[in-house]
Amino acid sequence: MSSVGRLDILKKALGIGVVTRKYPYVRVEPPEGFRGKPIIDPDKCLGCGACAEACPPKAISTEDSQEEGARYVKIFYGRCIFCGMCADVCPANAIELSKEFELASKERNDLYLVIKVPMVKCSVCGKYFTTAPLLLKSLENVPEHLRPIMTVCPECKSKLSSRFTSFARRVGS
Amino acid sequence: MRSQVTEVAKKLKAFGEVYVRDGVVKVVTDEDRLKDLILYMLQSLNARLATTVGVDTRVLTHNYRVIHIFSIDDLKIYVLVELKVPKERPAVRSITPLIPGADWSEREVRDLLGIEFKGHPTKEYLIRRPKLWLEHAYPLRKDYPHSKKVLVPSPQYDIEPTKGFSVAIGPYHPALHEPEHFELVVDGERIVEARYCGFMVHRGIEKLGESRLDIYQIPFIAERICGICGFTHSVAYTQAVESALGIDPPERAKYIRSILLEIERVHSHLLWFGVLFHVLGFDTGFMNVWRIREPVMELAELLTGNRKTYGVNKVGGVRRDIDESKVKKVKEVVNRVRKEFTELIDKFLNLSEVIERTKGVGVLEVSDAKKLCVVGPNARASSIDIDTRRDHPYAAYPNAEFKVPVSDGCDVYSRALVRRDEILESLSIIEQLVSDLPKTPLSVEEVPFKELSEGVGATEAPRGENVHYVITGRSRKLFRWRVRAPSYANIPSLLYMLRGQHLADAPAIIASIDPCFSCTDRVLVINLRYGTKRYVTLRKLRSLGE
Amino acid sequence: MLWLRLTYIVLNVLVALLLAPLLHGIERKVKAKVQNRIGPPILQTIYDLSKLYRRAPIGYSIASWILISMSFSYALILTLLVPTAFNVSLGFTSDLVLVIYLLTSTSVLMALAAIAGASPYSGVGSSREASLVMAIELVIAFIIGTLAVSYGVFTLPKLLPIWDLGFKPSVLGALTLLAILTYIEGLRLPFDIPEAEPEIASGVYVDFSGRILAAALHTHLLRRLLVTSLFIDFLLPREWFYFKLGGYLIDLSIVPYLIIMVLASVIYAVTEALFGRYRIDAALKLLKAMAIMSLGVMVLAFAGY
Repeated sequence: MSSVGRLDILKKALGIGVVTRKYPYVRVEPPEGFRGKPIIDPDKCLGCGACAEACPPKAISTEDSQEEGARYVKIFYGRCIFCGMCADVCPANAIELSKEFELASKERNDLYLVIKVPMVKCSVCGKYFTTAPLLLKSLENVPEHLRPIMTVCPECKSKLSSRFTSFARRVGS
Repeated sequence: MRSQVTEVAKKLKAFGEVYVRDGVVKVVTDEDRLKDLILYMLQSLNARLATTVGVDTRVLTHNYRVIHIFSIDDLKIYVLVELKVPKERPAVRSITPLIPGADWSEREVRDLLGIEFKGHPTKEYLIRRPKLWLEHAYPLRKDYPHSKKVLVPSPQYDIEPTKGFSVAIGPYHPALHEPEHFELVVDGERIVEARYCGFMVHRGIEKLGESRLDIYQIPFIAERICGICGFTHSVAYTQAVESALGIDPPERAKYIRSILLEIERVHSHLLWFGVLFHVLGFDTGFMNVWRIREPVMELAELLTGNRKTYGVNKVGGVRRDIDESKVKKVKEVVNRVRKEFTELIDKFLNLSEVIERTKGVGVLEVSDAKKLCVVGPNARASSIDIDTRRDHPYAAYPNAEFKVPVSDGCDVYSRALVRRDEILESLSIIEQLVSDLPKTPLSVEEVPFKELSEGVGATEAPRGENVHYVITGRSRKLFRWRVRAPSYANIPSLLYMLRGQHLADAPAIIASIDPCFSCTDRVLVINLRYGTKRYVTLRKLRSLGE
Repeated sequence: MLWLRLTYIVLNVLVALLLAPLLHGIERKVKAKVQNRIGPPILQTIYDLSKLYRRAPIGYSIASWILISMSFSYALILTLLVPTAFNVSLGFTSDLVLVIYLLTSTSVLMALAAIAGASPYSGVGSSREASLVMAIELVIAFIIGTLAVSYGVFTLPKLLPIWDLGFKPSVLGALTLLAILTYIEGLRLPFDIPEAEPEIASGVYVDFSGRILAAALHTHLLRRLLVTSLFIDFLLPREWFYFKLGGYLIDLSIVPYLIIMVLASVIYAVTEALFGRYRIDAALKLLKAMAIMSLGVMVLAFAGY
């Protein structure tokens, strides 16, 4: 009979007590591995832009500034879907998805994370062509005697090497 | 399985060119043999129509293509029936007179691709709105840019109300969680007729899948097709692509996918029970069921990083592992949910006012269900014994033992019983699979790309069979992506279920099929703005009296 | 002492106005606890009403405004006739006719006001409310009729409390039915059909807003309070709580009154939490059964029992 069922329901309810929490007056801590706000560590970021490539909604973008000699890596949380692809592809493990999820704000500017990565100037033409950390990282694989040429931008480098090869041919012939 | 596929392929040779690949049979036929082929499939092969896809293949073969996807559940085979449609004044014969369940799919192809279906019983539009859309806007055609809007400069609301006193449920109604429009023509408190106008939550997902995204990014958007059953779409999609590219993900990935799919089923069915009780006015039941559901959400958050949008799927495998410590937690939650659920659910379902409002309410006769190709718990509650996990085994389901609950009550109460049993079966499946995770990598090393390859991926979503059909394109993109969510097949049955019922039961009946309008309306970008004309028209009708 | 009596009467009205939403707040809180929730603060309904009273209504019809105002005034008049906090009223000979009329009218006027609404939902809610009200008020009429016939008086003050008049079988039957009816009268689950939110988007109330909605809700809550108070009045021996202080008669029956009202609210809330909603036809069937029973009881009264 359903009235007995009703009393049982009541008994069970009173046995359990209150299960809701007074959030937001009470803090709620998400578990490990929670995919919250992605944060870039400015010391680790190479400025390679792999994250921007991988980001499905194109929330991450890079922008080079010649006046300041820096590359800006920007995350716009308004587009972010918290998938973590950026963290997966980052070669320097500079991006981590934190546990922060309370991201609402009245100011649009609060939704941007901007990282500034210093760039390297070409010793020939003066254009900023790559970031310092990227250059330093690639230097590890470059033999000593070729290192000076690394601070030359790709266009100037090809111009230089063509001069060398044509000079070599002239000498040889 | 192999032999059955070849058997079927041989039998179908009489109707056209037959191709077989990866367990899927394709018959390329023409209009003259179409009717015989369909009849043969229905009668001799006991096939069920899953969906109809229209593809603009003019850049490839100078024509359009219409593909009817059938499932032969007993033989575990999908059959694609392909028809070529001429470029100029595209038209093809309709199969709706033979299979009423094809109604919506064919109308959708007509609305979005401009292919006429000769002999289709109705000229009424499904998605397209005459007064709101541009005249010749066919968004799924390749020459229509994905960023171009289809609306006319000043759209006007155009749903003509039906005769008689009508009560509109929707587009905004507390009983519904998504916008849709049911117009119920009532006589006193009895529903005489029901009309449905939907497709108000289009987001252009199929078009986006072809244009802006590459095949590796699509799992993320597939997951967002639905607010409850996203992961099943993600899995169905990756399975379709994996089939098209000939990839077999490692065992551990399949197990993890199945475990998460079952977790999703449990949370979805518990959510459904909550909604049902709420609609019946029994809020205590609602609160209790959702209280029981909460640990499932927290488990999902622990395993994947998010309560609902798991984001762990990728083409070729999964991105996250379930390690030993998490296995323990999974078993704990399964036991807890099982205990609490079984303690309370029968008490709730035995309350006299719940029984009175669900037994004999919203009846869907077996014959109607078959005609409309209904799927999932709604079909199983009307005696139709189909379940994609058993009929077209995928992921790790071949490694689990489970029953498929079927009932012959055909009413809201039966649907509740079927879902109740499914929750218990799912809990058992999770337990079996999580105790037995094979030690393999989580995904394949490389994903080789194959151009212009077709694939069908199907899963048993909480609401029924979910079919994704893909044709890969060039340079890591898709040529066509078709999503047939289960609610697409189930919603038309509502119009049968509502007739003759009490008005007060309408929300309960609508809720009983567990409609997921987000899943259903995912085809195109439409932003409908409603003028005030709507209430004026209904008010005028109302003043004409009861 | 006339001024003392008048003070008590005014206090009755004020207490009724404040107590009605307060009790509703208690019911919400208790219902929440049964559902394992924290629930809104007990004063929440008072907060809601005070917010709504301050707002101007939107898109309303004059008819709604007039009818709701009438409905609310009728409820106020009832607080003058049915003793709430203190044992005083402006009762007069044969005032029971007026009491029954006012009780029925508050609901009927509400249903009429709802029809004036533009939404079909309010129309459906209105028709349901009208059906339910007719059924409920019929039972109340029979119950009050039984009491009047049993004791040969049609004046309310003369019937309070029943203890002084002696119990009869028909009276016991009537009071039992009344006890159940105080629950149903408040349109609590399973009878909250006219305002079923998931089904008809708040039905009767959907077209009201601002002050009109405030008055409509307040009237509904006052009715609940008044019917329960009526039941308590029949049984509570108020004179036990009179005290003489320096020549003045201090009526402390407000204390047991409040205690019983709060207790009743808790019981109602717990009951409500354990029920789903009835469909209108089932509700009417149940009320028909009650009406037949109450008629039977009245026949008993006529027969002298």
